[in-house]
Amino acid sequence: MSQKSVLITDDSRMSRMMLSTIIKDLHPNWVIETAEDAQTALALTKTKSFDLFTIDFNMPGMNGLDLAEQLKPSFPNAKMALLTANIQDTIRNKAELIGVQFIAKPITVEKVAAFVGN
Amino acid sequence: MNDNSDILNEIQLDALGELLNIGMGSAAASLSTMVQQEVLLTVPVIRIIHQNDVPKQLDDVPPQKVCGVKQTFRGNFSGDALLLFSEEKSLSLVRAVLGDSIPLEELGEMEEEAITEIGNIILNACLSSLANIFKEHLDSEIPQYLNEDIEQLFNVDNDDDCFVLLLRMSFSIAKQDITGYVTFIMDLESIAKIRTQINNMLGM
Repeated sequence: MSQKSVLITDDSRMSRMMLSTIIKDLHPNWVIETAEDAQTALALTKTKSFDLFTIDFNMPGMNGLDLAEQLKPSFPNAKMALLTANIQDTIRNKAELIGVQFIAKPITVEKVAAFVGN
Repeated sequence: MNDNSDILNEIQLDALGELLNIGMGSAAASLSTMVQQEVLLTVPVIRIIHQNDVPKQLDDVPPQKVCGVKQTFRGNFSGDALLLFSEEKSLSLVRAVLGDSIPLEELGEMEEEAITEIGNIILNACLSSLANIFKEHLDSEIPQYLNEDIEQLFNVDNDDDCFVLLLRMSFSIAKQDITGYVTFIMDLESIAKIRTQINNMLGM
């Protein structure tokens, strides 16, 4: 598969590490960037382009759904997933409404592979 | 006030126990995915007690120091959800989840963040399940790592409203000999709202 770039936004270092490791194993040539909050993610997107986004919901500052909504106009063709432990139907429905895939934590290879492709 | 039936009758307590069962089932499934082995759950215990008495209710011999995660939730009913286990089991849990993917020397450094994320996943699975059943939305605050004396954790200074609904279920991961507790602490106002929710659900 051609080289793609991914932005992982999650306030948990453990989650960022696990996601990075899984995506690197699946696609060794992909470029992976990480951000610990929405502001850092938004700053990164000012200078770089991304094909895929994984976004945590519950983070200090802006939440993941608001971040996704802000990113959508700039990245209309990017794949976005809300990857969260908050598996309430209200969150799932909001994600679907704005065209963001919903992935329930815990993170597994299967769930990540289904999103990024094998 | 120590008598549960003053606030919740037998049917309501039974319903709450069942809801907690469902919520913890979801949390246990998440934990089981993380540690890749079976997670055993105990029967839920529900008590309305003084907050200062919570440590005595957690175990026959509660650990002096506890480690875990606290997540405050707000909505139609509000409170704190806590994941607790004895301090010495903390690193074992992190190892059980991360396996050999992290070098041993980095494991200790990762401990606090890893426990916080594990707690976030477990507590949110349980809270989300309850919110979904009640068709409510609960806002969760950022999970907070805990490592402190158990008496200190539940010590309250004000006497205004310090009776709490204690929902407790313990889980265990046999291979690692890890036992922990999930506890919800809610004040009387929230307990009354839960009671209304249960009544609506049961058509009472």
